[in-house]
Amino acid sequence: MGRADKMHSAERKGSGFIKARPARITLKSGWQRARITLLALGASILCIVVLLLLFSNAFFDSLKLFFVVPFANVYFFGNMLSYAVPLMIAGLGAAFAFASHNFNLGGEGQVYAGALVATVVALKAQGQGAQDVLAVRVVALFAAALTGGLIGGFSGMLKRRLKVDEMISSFLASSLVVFVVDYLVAGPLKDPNSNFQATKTLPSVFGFAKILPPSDLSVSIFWALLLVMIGKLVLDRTSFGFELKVSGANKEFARYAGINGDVYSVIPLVVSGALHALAGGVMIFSTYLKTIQGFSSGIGWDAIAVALIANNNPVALVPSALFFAYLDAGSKSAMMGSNVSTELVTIAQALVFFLITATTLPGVFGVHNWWHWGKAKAAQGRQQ
Amino acid sequence: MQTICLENISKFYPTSGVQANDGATLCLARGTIHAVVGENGAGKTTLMRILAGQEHPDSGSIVIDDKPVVFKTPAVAGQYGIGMVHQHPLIIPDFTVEQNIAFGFEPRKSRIFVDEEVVRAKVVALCGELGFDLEPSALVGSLGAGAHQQIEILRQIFRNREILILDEPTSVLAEQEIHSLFDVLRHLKARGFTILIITHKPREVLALADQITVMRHGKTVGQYDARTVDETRLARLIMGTNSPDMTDAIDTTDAIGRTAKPEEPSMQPIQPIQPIQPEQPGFCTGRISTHNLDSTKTLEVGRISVRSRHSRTPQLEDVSFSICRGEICGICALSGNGLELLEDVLGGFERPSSGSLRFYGKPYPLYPDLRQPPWNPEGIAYVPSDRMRRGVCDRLSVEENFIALDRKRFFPHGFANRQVAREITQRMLEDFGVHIRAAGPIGELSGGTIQKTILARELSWPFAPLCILCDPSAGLDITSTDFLYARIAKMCANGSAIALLSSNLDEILTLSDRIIVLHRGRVAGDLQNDGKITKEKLGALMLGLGSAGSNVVQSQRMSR
Repeated sequence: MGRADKMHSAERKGSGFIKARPARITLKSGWQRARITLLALGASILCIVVLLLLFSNAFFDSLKLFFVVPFANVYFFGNMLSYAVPLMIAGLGAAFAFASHNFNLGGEGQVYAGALVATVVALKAQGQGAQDVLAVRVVALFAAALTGGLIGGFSGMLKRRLKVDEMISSFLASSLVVFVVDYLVAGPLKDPNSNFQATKTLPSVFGFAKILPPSDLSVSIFWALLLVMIGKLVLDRTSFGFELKVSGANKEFARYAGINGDVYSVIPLVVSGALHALAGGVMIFSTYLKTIQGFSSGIGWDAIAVALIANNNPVALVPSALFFAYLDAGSKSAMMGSNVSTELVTIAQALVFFLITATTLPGVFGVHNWWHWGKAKAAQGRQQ
Repeated sequence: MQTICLENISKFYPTSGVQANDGATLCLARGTIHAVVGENGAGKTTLMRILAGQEHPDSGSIVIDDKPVVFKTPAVAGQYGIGMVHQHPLIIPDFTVEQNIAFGFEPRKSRIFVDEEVVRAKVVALCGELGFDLEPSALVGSLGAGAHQQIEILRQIFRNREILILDEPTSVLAEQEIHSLFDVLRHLKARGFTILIITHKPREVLALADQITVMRHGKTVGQYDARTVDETRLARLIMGTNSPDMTDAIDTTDAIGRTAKPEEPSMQPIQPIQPIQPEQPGFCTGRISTHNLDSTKTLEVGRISVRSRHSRTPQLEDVSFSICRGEICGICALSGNGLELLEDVLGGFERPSSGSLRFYGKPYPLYPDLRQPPWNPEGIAYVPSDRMRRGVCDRLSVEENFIALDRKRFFPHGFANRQVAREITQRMLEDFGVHIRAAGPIGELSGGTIQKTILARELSWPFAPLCILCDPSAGLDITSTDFLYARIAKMCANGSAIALLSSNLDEILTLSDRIIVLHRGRVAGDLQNDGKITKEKLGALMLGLGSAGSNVVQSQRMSR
């Protein structure tokens, strides 16, 4: 991150043959970190229960609506899984950026822009009379990924050339993109025959095959799982992933080892942007078939939380995305079925986001020392 | 009896599988200087961190004045007057000296505002009393390691800590600084402070301490009165009765798993490295002069200058020298006189603004051109002075710290070959006598062990034709230092050229064939080490006191 880099370089410049070193890091094992994460998840569920208890007229009904109904029928269950698909893909994007110590806060704009580009390309192809549905999908998703990659790469280049903090530039770029897409959806690209602020709708043959009717769940979930596997392979087994992680963990050492750090402040943001946009495109083909104004709002932020819970481990993205999809499905169901207001649901989601980032973010950035969870484990290890 | 005792302390680090302390017991009397000595990784630092409340023992107890206490946090230890001066000073470079000293314990005006005048007065008074030459309003980032340590000491006194733990305070200091530090510690003792000091060097211990505790393999061997032991006895106690075999035998299959012959034909000017004879004297006692210098110039530094806009320290100006095959070239300077910058240039971190650097007659591989790993025929071994930040990545495992240098080899076709990586890493470590698990995280090892790990990585067979060694023995115990010197001798005999940048003048004088002294970024002296050079002469040159000897080599002038 920018500030840490600045501190490093300041220390480096400030002579002293042996330089100051940050406090010794106590590394936590995977299990210890997982325990903290699980605690945060438990705490967030507890918060939701308390909120429902405070603000709901029919506490037990809303409790049931929130926690049980998502599993109770095929429709809710399928939709829940369907919502996990873009979260997995976008979460993979966020994890790529985190692993290289870059922070992509532009997920919102990238998802939204990806969705619009995919819609526009597919509509164009349909207008030209394209018959090959698969080819249209591939081209449209590729165009979406390219757009997202460009937006992410823009922040990366600003960081590399002008030392602009990628957190700020990606966030601002995303805000801009959201407004541009809003305008396009409500203006030039609006479907004149619709009351929605939305583009024209694609014929349903262009969508992914549904696998759990009447829900939205489509074969895209398999593609998402495949992507996650590829992500795991790339991060854990390839020299690209290794170099990316090394330059993320310690730029000075990366340079010492001859790793070109400049590349790794741009490429991960490109990949991250591309995956976010891909998530947006997949949403179009699996569920919506058109871009509706603000339809993807929140995915970019949820993806960050998903990646943080997963601790940048692509395989862990799957349960983590499912958990977030579950919370989303629960809040939607509670909202529809009881007097619980939209605001309450929003508060609940904000609480979850806060708790998750507060507990997992320090782990991602190498600060572990503030909670002594290791003692019991240490004693256990000694006895072995 | 007024004592601070650690009783039967055990501590295990599960992730790295290291039993750092194993029933260690230590008792220090108030108002004395107590030294803790032991080899690298003997568990000294862990024990001290436990006393300072920074680690929690798995078992054992801390007893202060016959009352058992539990230190949950360093703040609790602080209430008992215990403060730690870290080996790598914890400072905030963007704060001033006084802000760093008062940090967290600032006296307040009306409970809200920091009372800067009180801080200033107190800092000035303490500096005066201890003879520290610190400007309270100077930014700490611009000061050297010695000043950082003084700030840490002042910080603990400022917080009214009267039991000071100093973790290897001398490893970052130059000769003169060590003397003044010891004077300060004796003065503090006279004022009633209790001082616990960790060090490797028996001579220092005997000069300073009242009591000595020796640690080995996480256990305390015993506690001795400093008047009753001498240097040899102490050294034997530290190393144990069956001291390890120091002969450094290298088999012809190298640590990388290749045969001694280079696989690919080397580029034209590079001589194929000959395997060394096992009967070569493997252990050096005095100056190394057994090898023949070769006239082939491995490294040529031609009139390089570095001008940077931001730095306040003197830059490099017109520095020229060359190092031949098999030559050890010692380079020394007082801190802030360009040695750090020269390290950056030779390490490929800084691009000189003018002048040329040539490696075997070819352009020097400066960043972002890739540094070749030390085991390649055209590789450069580089042991950085900033081992924690530049030498290793403490969030990776030991093995990952090795393979990071040579992704081409360990990621054939782009995919990791962990099995080979682990075997080779383990072999390089064992070749250097470092007994740790390659899969464990490197961040949990002790400072000396990390240094040994870096050395094992950089100085393993096959030897690099050029080595940039910056304070290579910093934090090493006697055995490891001897092993390192022997290894350096062997590398020389094998044709490696070695640039030794060190703040330790003894090391420079012992090892170098030639000594270059920098002063204010310029070469102040270029001397052949004929055995007549004294530390005083080097010191005078480092201070810029004219031509302090007749044997200033004329080549410097002639090369211009």
